[in-house]
Amino acid sequence: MKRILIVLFAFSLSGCALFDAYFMAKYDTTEYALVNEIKTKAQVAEENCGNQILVVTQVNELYIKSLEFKNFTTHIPRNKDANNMSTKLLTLTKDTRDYFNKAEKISPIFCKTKLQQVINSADTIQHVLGSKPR
Amino acid sequence: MTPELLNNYIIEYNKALENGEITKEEYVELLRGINVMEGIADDAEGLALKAQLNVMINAAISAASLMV
Repeated sequence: MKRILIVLFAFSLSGCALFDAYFMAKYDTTEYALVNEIKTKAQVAEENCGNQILVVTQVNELYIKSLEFKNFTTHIPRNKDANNMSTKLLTLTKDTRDYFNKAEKISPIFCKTKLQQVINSADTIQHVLGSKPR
Repeated sequence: MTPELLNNYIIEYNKALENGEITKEEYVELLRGINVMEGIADDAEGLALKAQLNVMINAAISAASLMV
């Protein structure tokens, strides 16, 4: 017991980083499921880049799901990193939604590349959320 | 996000613009997207390091407990 206290004391001397790491928010199934849903929706939308009306609808849904993800991560204690990432993913999907809604014509290459940005970012987030401690 | 990956994205977008596959507005929009992607990649890296540190701390505590 004494040794545990010594180890903990040594860690506490090393600063906030260790404290943050030790008490970080654990793996959350809902958080993981939400980002997985965003990635999947973006993949489905990418397949429909040839149909502008359909892709605009799907991009709008993508934005709503990202907002849900951001809202979900917001008040979980010690979850700042996940919240920062969800906020940025929301920015990406909001920019995508705004552009797709205002553009008269969307180039197929742009459509695919823009949705690839969302897919890649969601994948990066999913990977790191899946690595959170259980 | 590595500088090489970032560079590859920009080359890809430049090519699409030069070939007339995307408009100037779309090109700007893609560059804005890269900026956000980079931010996400940085945050992810930080969280991954924190998770690794968490594993190490727990391993150290377990080892210390066994010594008692």
